Amino acid sequence: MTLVYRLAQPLARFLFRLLFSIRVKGLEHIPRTGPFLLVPNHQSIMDPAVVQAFCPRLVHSMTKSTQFAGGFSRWLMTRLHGFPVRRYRIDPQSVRMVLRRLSEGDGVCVYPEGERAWDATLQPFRRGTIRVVLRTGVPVIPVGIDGTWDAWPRWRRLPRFGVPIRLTFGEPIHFGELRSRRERERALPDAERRIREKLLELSGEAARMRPNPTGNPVPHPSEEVGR
Amino acid sequence: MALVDFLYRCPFCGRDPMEGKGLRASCAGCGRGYAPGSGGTRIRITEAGGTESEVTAGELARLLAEKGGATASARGPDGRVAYRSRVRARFADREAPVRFRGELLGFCELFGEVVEGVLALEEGHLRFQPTEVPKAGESGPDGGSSAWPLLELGALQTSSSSVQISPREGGVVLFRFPDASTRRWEELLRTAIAETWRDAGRGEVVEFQPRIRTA
Repeated sequence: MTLVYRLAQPLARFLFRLLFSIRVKGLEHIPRTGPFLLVPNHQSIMDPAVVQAFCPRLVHSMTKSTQFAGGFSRWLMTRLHGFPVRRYRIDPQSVRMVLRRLSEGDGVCVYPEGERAWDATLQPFRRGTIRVVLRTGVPVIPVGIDGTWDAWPRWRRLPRFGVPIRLTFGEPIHFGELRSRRERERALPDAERRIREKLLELSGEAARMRPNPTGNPVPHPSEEVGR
Repeated sequence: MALVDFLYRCPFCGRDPMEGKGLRASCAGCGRGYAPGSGGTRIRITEAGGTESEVTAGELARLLAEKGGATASARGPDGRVAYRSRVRARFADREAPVRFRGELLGFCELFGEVVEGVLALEEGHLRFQPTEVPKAGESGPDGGSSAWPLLELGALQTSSSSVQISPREGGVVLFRFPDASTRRWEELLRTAIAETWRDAGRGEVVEFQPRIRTA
């Protein structure tokens, strides 16, 4: 772990707690040792920072390559354990990085949607990302992020503070060791469905989508009790 | 960017475009006003008479799509998607390795200077006409316009406030829209590419990045 990461993580936690009303659940689902994959939904530019700040273990984040173009952002991204993915082509190097970091026993974070949603709804997944997930054979932890869209949606220049944010690490999904490409292709639709269902549930989107027969307001995350 | 990047037309009456800047948008047709809501991905709507309600952004996106989305008012005489806007373009024809502590982490594209111009989607092509000629040695069109047949695009991706295309011959071109909705352009390009590829017998496009892929 770099010195910058060691310093940035507690600082980020402090700032998020100070500036937002943040609640984190499910930390017990993160393995204490060994590799794991985090697959969050993606609502806001804040998401990677929130996930890395509150995950108790080191997480390497697959990050769009444009974040590494500028001098300072490249310096910062590399020290925050990010690695680039070129989204305009098939990028085998980014796949190698995922597998390499997992083989070193660390966690890796990938966003199956590939980009932030305009409207906070879960978008179709990149099939290539799900293929990589199936190739790893490690525990896959779905991460529900709720509230970051309200804090900083794509169309907003600056964040809105004080917004309730909820980060929920779900139970690990084990897809097993799928050694052949054929096995992985066969498993692809089911893997996509399972991850999608968990992210809809953990992010609160499933609850927002359910018909509300009572007509009473659906509770907002800030009104929930306890952690 | 602004709320009108997301709500580029009124999701209730369909009027195009919406007006506003920053965190507010309003419809000159039905008089509704839009602003960030109280949370839970909600947008606050103020009716012309002053009544307020909140609807999720996802619901507004669905209503907007029902009103025809981006293409309802963007068809040329040939029925194809047609639109044009001022843009700030950047061209990348090189990549640089990203290393840390001697380890190759990956690669990133290197963009040249901004070139101002007009982007036009028409007749199955995407055309860029610069308003100024780039300086010698800079990445960019060689003095004239660039045109990319939609059938020759390798990928379409969105990134923050920009839309990026990757022609099959290589390189990446990034477009930012100083006075048009990025989201509208994303939808227009996706629709235009899907229709063009379908009409050319290539099948239904199911993915736009990292490669345009058909079912």
